[in-house]
Amino acid sequence: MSTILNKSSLNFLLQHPWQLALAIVGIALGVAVVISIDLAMESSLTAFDQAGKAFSGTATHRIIASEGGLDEKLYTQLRVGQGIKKLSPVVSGYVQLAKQTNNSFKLIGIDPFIEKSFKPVWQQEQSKNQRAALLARLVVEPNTVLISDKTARSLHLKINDEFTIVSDSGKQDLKIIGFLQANNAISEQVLAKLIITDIATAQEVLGLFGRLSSIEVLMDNYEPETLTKILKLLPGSALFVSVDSQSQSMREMTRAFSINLKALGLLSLLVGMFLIYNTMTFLVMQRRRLIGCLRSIGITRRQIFKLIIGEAFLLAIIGTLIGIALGIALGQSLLYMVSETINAIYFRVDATSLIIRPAQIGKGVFLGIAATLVAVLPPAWEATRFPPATVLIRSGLESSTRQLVSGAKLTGFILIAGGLALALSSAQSVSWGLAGIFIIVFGFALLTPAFTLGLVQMTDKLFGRFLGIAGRLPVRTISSEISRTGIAVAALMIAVSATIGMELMIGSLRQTVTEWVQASLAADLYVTLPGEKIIGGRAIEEHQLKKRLADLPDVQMLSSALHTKLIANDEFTKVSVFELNPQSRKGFIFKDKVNDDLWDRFEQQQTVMVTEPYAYYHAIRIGQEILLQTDKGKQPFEVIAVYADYSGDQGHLSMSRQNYQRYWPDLGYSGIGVYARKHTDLKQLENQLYKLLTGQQSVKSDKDIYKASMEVFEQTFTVTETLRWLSAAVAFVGVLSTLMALQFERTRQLGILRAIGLTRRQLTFLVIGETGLMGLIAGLFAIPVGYVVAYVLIFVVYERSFGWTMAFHFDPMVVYQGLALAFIAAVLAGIFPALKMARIKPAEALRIE
Amino acid sequence: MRERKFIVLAIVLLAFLIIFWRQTFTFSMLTPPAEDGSFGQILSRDEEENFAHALKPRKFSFPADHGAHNRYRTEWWYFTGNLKNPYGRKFGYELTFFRFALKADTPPSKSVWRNNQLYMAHFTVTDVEENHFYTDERFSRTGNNLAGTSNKKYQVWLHDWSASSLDNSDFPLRLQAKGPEFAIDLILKARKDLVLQGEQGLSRKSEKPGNASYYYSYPRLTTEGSINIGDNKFSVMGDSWMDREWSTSSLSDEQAGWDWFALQFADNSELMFYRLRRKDGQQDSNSSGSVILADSSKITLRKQDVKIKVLDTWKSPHSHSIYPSKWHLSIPGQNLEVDVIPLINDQELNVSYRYWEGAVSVKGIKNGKSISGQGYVELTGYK
Repeated sequence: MSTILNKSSLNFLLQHPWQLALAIVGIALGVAVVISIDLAMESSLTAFDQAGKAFSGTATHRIIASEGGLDEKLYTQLRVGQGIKKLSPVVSGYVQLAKQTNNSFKLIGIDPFIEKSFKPVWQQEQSKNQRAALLARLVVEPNTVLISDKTARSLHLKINDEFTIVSDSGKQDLKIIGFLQANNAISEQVLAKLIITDIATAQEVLGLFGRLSSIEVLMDNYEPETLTKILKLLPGSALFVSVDSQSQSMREMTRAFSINLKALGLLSLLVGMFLIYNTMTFLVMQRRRLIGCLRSIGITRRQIFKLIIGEAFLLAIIGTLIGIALGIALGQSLLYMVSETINAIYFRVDATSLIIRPAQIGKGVFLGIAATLVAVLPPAWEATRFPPATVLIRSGLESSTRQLVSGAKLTGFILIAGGLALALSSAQSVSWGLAGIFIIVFGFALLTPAFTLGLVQMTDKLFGRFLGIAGRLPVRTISSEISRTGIAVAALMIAVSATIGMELMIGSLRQTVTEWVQASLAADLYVTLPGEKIIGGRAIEEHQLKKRLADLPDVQMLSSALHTKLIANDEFTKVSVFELNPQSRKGFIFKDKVNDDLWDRFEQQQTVMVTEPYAYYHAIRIGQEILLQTDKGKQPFEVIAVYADYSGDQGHLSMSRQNYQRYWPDLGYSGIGVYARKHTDLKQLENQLYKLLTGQQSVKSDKDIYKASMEVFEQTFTVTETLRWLSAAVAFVGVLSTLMALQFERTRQLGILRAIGLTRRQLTFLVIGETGLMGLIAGLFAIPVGYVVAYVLIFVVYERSFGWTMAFHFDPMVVYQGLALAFIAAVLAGIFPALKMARIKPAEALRIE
Repeated sequence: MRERKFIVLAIVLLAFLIIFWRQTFTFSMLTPPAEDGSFGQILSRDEEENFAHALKPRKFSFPADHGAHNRYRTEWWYFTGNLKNPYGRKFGYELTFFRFALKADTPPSKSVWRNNQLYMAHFTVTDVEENHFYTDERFSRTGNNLAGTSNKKYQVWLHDWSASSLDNSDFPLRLQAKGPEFAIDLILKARKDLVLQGEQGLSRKSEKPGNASYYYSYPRLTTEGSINIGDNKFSVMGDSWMDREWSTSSLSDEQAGWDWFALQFADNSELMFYRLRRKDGQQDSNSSGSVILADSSKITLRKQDVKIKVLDTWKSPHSHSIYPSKWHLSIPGQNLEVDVIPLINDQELNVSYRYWEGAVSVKGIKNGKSISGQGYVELTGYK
């Protein structure tokens, strides 16, 4: 019996290839977006973790320092003085290829003579006989390096070839004496961006004489003695962290970003679910008669239910498989965008290609199948619910739907209220904030049928008499088939409102950031002094440079900033060390009213100012103290102001240079602001400054800086924009599928209309008019919903994710765009069925059923 | 006696580096170093020209000569000793610092890590009662004060292992080393003066000029201190032996290894002899040694002066190599007939470079009277 059932099911499905295809596309797109985001995000972070593991090997802990690194004598004290055996000194930094300056590598200097128990990648990956000698050559021959064979191939380099790199200290030729060979895909990834060399070469190339970037520590078990020894010698500028906790905190840092991206992925899946629901409902409805007959001849409800679920399962599997393939392809391009964003606002990651893990694929498969099954439950339930006799009557469905509409309306209001309450009361949780948005949007979706009915009836009342029968037909069809049209409008509304909401949010943020950047740029010209900040040589040169700048006749005054990290609460905290002048002080936008003596206190007392994200994350208020670790123990700094900053979401502190120099070593400057005298030719001054600079130092005008800042901003939102369009695409497919299904279902009805004299043109108008109207309704309803979404995003989610407050900035263009998007998508979706219907002869159409 | 080492040295040197790299870096090294171009570049023979050579006897000057001679390719500071706790429990120890110049010159650099002087150290303790042999080793370049020597006093160190004068005179000298579950902390005082080996400290290895080392020993150092094994600390006393040697030239290809004996007799005399074994099974004519009498006077021994008979062998369960494990030594010229017996058989070092170096006891007859003693034996090149 079940074979016959299956056959009937299969036959039926094959007779509706378009519906099938669209359902599969819906599932596939939803799954693809979810998987691609997951893969891109995980690959970026895994690349970071794995790169760490590759050169740390089995190290369990790490001594790390802020800018300037660790004094290499610390290593000697620990190794020779304290006899701690399992230590590995590391000197690392970034270098670019001289020929491709956008191609950067992490240069890692290691000591080949460390304990073998570390098993880092440069030891493990070697197998050939000559490998052993290579490490000895690294030590003996300056500027020799190991790189991955994959990288060498891509750069057309062979063993014994030299290539030129650029570092903070200038250009340097490096000679490849051997290859690092990867034994799996992940290590291949990791190795592709590494250059391994001896620690001496690394110090020479990077100019980090006397310094180590970190000391890797391997503690077999819990070794309190080793721990005590290390902590005793640990300088104030260094931290002893476990490798796991470090990678944990990296993940923690990007958590909000990651959640936001994943929410966008889920949005696509949600829209995809509507699509599946719709298609399955259509497929069930089309077979009401068949199901009624089957039930009459004794097929049980259970069997019918199983049949429908079985079909959905099949579709889910096909859709999910396609989705995975698509997701991997999509993930590759997302990866680039995601890692660029992580680079811009968090930390350096070098992800070159996707790392595909079974776990993530599994998650995609699970989500795809689960979403399909959940979406198909209502139609499956519906198919079995009615007794055989009523199943045969369509009007039964519509009348019950109308009861449902008012039920949905009530549920919708409850959900919106609940969602808002959840979002507003969700404390610091980003996930709950986003869940609130989902619930709100879903609540609005439930209101859609009621809204649609209301609007359609109003249209009918207001304009009906002017439209004539042909004009009234599309309007009334929408309301008479609300069970289908309502869903289509809801799906479209969700996608469009998400688009409007996000666009409003991004626009508000863009406006806020623009104002902030412009306010912050007080100087006429900026000299940037890039590179690792180190004690000694380079810092002294930077002081000399500053003095020379000050001596230029056209220069009225200078300001300076040093961006470094200090330790607060056993964590590295970004700190900007400022030398300010009356002009540059105006660049701070304070979040609270500040007293007149603020700047005196900033300069003269042990105080700091904190950025808004910092205050938010650490729940710090003005008047509280922050304990900063120094070589003289922990020192309290009073928070005297909170100011706006959108440069990152972890926040930072700022302190006066006077305060800084009391406890920490001089590391030179990160940038110097130059204020010209009145009527100075800035172009000419820029040239004068340029002549004083060396190496990587550069001079930029405030306009250049503004442009660069906004570029970073736009880049940060490329991912969001892309994902937004993807969910709009899913919604479009959904609308297309729904409307097509709707129209095809009405073939007979349209046939009758044609038979009683409706022209082809009128028929086309009828179909397109109906879909276009639905699009308009969706677009209109999406505007207030988009507003609510934007509101919650701006004042709840983003503030929580990134600690940024921003002013709501309304851009009417966004609304027009949203409306246009909905309308155009709906009209496009109507064209194909309209043309097809118009082509069918009335007799054919009547016969089709 | 240590001349054997000399010869060995160069062979060993290559072997050392290869094997040490292999062991340290866990990758397989199937071909010998000489066949490997890259290694040859580091230790190639023509590079010998860049190093200084031991051509003629030199005037030793202390404490400067206790320090490193970086112009020579290889150098070592070698301590071995037989110790007892107050209850007579016997221990042996070896603490050796090796220096290898990976290259004769180091290019100038602002980085202290730019350094081609590589140090290696071996540390062993023999616990006779428990029949256990503990070993450990270390490596480091000299940069950043991770290893090195002083020329102001007797001081050599590699990480936290060291041999260092307590004050400005050479002795007392303190030895400190700590392995994973064993450690020593010993004070050494010279009971007998320094002995210049070979020809006024120039120990020739072959007829070819420059194939020689500079070499001196302290044959009897009164030792006192402690040995830690696990959580147990033992106060110990006894006698140690120290060898210092530096050279550049390498061994001939015909040599397979050597057996070295450093024996301290109860009558306050010492015997050192090294037998160089050739690959063809013959004893190399460069084998030699010396007898140091109670009054510190030295009698040089040639190959033909000493007859060694292997009485037993032992197969290592670790490397499956077969080592001699009991000898009869006869030196007719000194009226000496003794048996040399390892305190325990398993004193094989399975470190980067595999060899057997262990504490031995001596029993026999000298001038018709029974005599006893102790010492250390080193066996290399056994398979």
